[in-house]
Amino acid sequence: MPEIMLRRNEKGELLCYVPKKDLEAVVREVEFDQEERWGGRLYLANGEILHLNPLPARPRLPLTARAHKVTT
Amino acid sequence: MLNKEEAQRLIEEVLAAYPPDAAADRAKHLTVVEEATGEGSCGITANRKSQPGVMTIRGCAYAGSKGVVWGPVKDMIHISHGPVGCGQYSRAGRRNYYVGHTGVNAFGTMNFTSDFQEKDVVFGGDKKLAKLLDEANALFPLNKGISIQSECPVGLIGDDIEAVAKQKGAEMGKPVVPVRCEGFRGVSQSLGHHIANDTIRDFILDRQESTANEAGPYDVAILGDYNIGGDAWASRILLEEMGLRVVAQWSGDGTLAEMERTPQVRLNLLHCYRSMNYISRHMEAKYGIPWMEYNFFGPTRIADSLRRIAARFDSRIQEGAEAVIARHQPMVDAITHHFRPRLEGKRVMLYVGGLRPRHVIGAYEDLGMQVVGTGYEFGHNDDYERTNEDLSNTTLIYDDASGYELEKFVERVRPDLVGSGIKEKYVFQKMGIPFRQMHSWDYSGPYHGYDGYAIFARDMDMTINNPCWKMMTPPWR
Repeated sequence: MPEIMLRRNEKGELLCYVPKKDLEAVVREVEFDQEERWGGRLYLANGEILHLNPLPARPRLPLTARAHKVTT
Repeated sequence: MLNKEEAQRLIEEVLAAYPPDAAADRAKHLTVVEEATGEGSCGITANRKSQPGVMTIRGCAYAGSKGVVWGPVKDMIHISHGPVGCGQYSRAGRRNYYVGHTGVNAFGTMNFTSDFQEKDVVFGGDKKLAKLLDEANALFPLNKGISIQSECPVGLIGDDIEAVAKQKGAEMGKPVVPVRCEGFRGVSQSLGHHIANDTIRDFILDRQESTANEAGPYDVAILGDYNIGGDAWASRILLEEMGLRVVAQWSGDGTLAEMERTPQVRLNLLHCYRSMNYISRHMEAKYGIPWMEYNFFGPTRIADSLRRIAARFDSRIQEGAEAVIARHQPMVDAITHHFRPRLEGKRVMLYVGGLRPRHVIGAYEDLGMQVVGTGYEFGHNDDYERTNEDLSNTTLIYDDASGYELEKFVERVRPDLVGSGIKEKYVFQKMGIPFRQMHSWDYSGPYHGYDGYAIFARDMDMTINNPCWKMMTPPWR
């Protein structure tokens, strides 16, 4: 369960940072991207998929959260 | 010009000298990038322990904390806690310029050490530290705080510097910051940056919710500029010229008060991503201050950075940025006109620290030069990702190159200029290759900003076109 930090970059893209791995990748897609439900699978630009327990609302960024790796 | 096959062969040739295990490990740290894709980390493994038995160029956690992050904070006393050597041999070597009276209200170039002896290692050094703190505070009453930079033995014998710091801090009414940056921690100075950032977070930012000054709408802080040869000053004037108010400089020519006030700024401007991204991320999460990276090497990158910074503010600042760029354009044109013909087409190999392997590429390109090899001593994956965006031709990439690898690469690629540290300088000069010491600008500088570009161009010309290179015969001829 790595800790991740989500923020927006200058272009407005969602960026996922995994401190343990020094990985900073753009999130291509968020599984649930609605006002009342946000999270689920995060599809990173490098091909990895992380799972973040869906939040009850769209979060205020930056957000530090725990996610786990989804092996496909 | 380097082509991919040749470079790949060169890497294989270099690796052939190692035993199979070491070669397999080192292979992950060496690569060739043909053209920038802007994505991925150049396919390189970084921030790993160096191979035992090879000569690495890396520093230690103490170097990252005392030498880089904490050291330049000028109105604090930074005690090198442990044997005398670590502090003395790194004293003032980085040329972090500052304004102030050394020994009165600024302490940047001084060396404070607890000078551990055998008895301190056997019986513990806490008593000595307590005495030292009192002494330093009495002798230099204008200090604003003290940081305790641990050297290896402190961690090995398990001294409780936190307890001493807490007690003395309360007695003095000043921040006394214990920094657990013993040299053996981590794989390079990079962890020292992180540890130092964490102590700033824990002991400085949260010490008092500062209300001393009123936050203005254009307040910004410069992070990760260590004012080497005056770099931060050359950057600061550009930001001020465009209408921003620079509240704090971290940490070149910086003060404790500036650091305490940073949580009130509108935007954190981050020059050295590697050493200060941790605190930037923290301030974004805790105080909601956005941060952005910028690059003040070479006119192309400066103009681009100024515009990107201005885009975060209103039209007044945006007009200011355009005015700054326009005002300096004649000067830039004159420099480029003068030096470009002398430097056009020259090839450069770099091997430096946290931001320069990618940041100076633009400045070289402005002068018509080409970077054919670059690498970080202690970069992480995210640094290599950022590097990828800056590369514009086939480039050899080496992470944590050993003395042997670097020498071999340079011998075969034969660039017109090598930019690396002082340990490499004389090796390459003796090989007959012009060299610039790019950690502290070879006793020159500043290189940031428009003023810095003039000096940068002059220095590169001075080095490459120096007549001495034609006069010497290298030993193999």
